[in-house]
Amino acid sequence: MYRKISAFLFPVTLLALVATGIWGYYESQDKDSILIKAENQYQRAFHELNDHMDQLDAEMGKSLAINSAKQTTTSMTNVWRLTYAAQNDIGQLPMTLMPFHKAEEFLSDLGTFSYKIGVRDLHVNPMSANEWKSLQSLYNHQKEIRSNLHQLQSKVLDKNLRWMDVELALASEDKKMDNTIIDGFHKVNKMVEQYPEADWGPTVNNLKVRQKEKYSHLKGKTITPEEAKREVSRLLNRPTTKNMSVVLNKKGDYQTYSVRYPLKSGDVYTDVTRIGGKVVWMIDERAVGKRKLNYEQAEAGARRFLTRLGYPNMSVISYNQTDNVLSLNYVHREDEVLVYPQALTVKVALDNGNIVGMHAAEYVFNFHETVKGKPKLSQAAAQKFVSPRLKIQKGNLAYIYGEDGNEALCYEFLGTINKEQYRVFINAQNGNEEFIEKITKADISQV
Amino acid sequence: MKKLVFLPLLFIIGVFLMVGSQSTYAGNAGKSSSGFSQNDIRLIANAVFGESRGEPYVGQIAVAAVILNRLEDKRFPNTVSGVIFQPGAFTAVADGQIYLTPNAKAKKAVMDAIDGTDPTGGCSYYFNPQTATSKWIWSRPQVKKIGKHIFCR
Repeated sequence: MYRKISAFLFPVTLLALVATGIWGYYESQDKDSILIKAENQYQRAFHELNDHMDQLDAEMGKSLAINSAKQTTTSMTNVWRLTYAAQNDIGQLPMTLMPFHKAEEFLSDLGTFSYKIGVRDLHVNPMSANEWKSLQSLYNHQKEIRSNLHQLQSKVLDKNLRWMDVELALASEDKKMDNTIIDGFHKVNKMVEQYPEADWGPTVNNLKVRQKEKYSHLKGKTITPEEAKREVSRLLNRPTTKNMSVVLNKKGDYQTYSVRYPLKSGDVYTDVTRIGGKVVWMIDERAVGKRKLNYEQAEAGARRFLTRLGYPNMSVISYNQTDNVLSLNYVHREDEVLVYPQALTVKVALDNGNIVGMHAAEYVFNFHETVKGKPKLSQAAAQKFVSPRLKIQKGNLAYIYGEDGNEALCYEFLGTINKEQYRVFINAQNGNEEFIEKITKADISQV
Repeated sequence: MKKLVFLPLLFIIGVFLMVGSQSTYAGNAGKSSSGFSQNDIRLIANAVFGESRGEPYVGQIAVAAVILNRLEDKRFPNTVSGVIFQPGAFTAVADGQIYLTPNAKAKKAVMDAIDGTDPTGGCSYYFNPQTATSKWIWSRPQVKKIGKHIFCR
């Protein structure tokens, strides 16, 4: 009996074993081939990074010897293009958790610096001695970064190092693994960290300063958690602060209280600044029902809400609608000038007209901005600087941050070309075309 | 019979009017304009759903806001797809959960973030303290906790 069963089972088991073996072999082949594909992508990005740094080196070195405007433009736009390419390579490597930030910032700033010079009319405004000096020191930094990356590249090739191992090492923080690649990038990052802050010229500097200063303009007294709750009840037009919970966020660019207000229909979340007690944003997660209001009714409701908050003189500049919620984008109006830095958004539920969202960070932080200067040009004179191809629908005065990060008093023209809508900002002092924006129609209902 | 033809026609005209008149989104000139394509928005919604579908609504807006903040951040790629598919950036990308179909809530959260709501106050990182494997992420300055996620600079 036993012999009979085993005589039958033995070949069956043997067959199964062989089949499993073959299956396993193919599985592991498949896995290996996928791993190699992934590795190849990383290797390509890494070697291309080195390649782009080489080209960048050649271009920057060359630019120091250039004298003519035409060659400078070519060279600087090439530098800009190559920094972008190098940043792109870095973005394809598994380095999210690897401190390479200083080097990435360096590339980004170098890109902005070269772009600004490259697109400038150098016949009118040639490269200054200071800019040349900056360029030279940036070149030296770039050289150093490149030579370090080169050494790393040689090691990768010599020792046949794998990026897939880097990924594993980063994920597990295993100190025993070969960390040559990680250490190499660390070293470069440390090096860049120690560079003295370069003179990036007004554009980059302005933006940096603006970022830093933004939050220091908040005025008013420091409020308590209770006062934060009261501010939220005032915003939501509720008589009590019952059931509200509040947390202080100490770290961050500015201190805020996060106030949560649970309602039957869903929670309402808000952040209130600790200094001055201003609501930065509010979201009511309530599900909005069927649409009952039209645009005019909803807009009137939003306007009443702003008046109640004490935010008068606001103009709608654009709006959109998602799932029966109307988002209205407002900017502050000061004597017929639209002050774009003072912007806020109000969201109105189209079922009952309640305000279900607001975000006012820009309004709150840029509130100190006042319109400086008077227009030198008339609107008709400014309009002459607008492309004749634009069919102008309306024009008004506007105060914006120009491309160099400085405030600029402009005439704003809204117009169309081939059914596409544009906003064009013409400097009211000198007719410069400061800023052009194509109004994107995101058809949200189809997302 | 005539009425039956007329009604759908009215409907079609109505839809055209609505599509034409609503949905003009224009970033203001004070901040960088945010003209995202429909497919960008879908991609972000996929990432938000894959990363944070168990989180409160405000937490989902926060995750979308981090993606948008990374676009502006010099330390990160400059495109939506670059940020989302950066190797190791999001676990939902690594384990394929990004390919799940997002629900309406995740999409709405993305739209709220694109409209400008940023519950994180400008953060470029977040992590789940229960599952985070990287020690480095703990060294980032923490701004706040929303749901299970800690958001940091």
